[in-house]
Amino acid sequence: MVNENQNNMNYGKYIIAWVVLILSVILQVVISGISLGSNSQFYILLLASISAFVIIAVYMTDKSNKLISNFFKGIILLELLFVIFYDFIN
Amino acid sequence: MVSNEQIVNDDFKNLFKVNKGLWIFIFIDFLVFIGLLAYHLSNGFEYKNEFVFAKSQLLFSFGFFNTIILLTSGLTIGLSKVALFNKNNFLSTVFVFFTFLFAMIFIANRAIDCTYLLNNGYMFGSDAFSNLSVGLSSFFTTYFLIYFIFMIHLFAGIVFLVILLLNLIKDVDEKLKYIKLNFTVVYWSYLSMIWAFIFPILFLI
Repeated sequence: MVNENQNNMNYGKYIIAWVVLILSVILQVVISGISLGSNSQFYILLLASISAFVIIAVYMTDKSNKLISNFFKGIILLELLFVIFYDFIN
Repeated sequence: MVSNEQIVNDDFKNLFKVNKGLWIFIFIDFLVFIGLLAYHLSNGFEYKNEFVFAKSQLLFSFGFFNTIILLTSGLTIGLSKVALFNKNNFLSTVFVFFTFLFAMIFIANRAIDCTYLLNNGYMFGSDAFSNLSVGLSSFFTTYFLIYFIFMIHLFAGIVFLVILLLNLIKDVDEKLKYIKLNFTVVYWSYLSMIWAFIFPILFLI
């Protein structure tokens, strides 16, 4: 049996995700323009990883492929950890 | 022919299932891209000043504009999925068409960008390219390699979009429409995801 919520999909989450992605890109450009030393690289990569996470979570996966969704989110989180670690050792 | 209502009632979970092969391809391809970008990034630390100069030679505004275009095309293809699920075949077709249009703008933008670099002697394979310093040639080699591989993916995506458009226009089985649309949505979103890393690493860092 399919419930009522499953029968309808709304455009909202896609539009919100798009706004987040655009803001993330603008923020990356702003950060690259201001002098933050080596930290700016870290912040830009952090924002890029968050963008990738949003794309996977909202656009690429849904309820039907939860396992794959979690797997790819895991990869991005590992990458995020790598970025933090890389920034730490430098 | 199976109606939309029947499909929804059949099994919601199966409606948007994507072939496992696509996920395996995405996983392997993602690793290849990350490897190339990491290589480019590590070269950037070695030839820091040359990489800063090389980035100043790129058309930044075109790269930024392309990013906005690609992210917006990701939105339109996502919206087409929602439209089809809400049984609005026409709106879904319009959204897919807009995605196709954005892809064309992306390619046109890229052509202008490439022509500019070619005229300035930075195009991989040109005579002036052989006279560049190690740092600059390293930058532009990985720059064009990453761009070239990405463009192959983009052209494949355009083929999927055209096939999808034909399926949406034609009176084919509803289930087939869902399957093809979801495949294209996942693939096209993957392109957006890769670009989310390509843009900052090639243009900003």
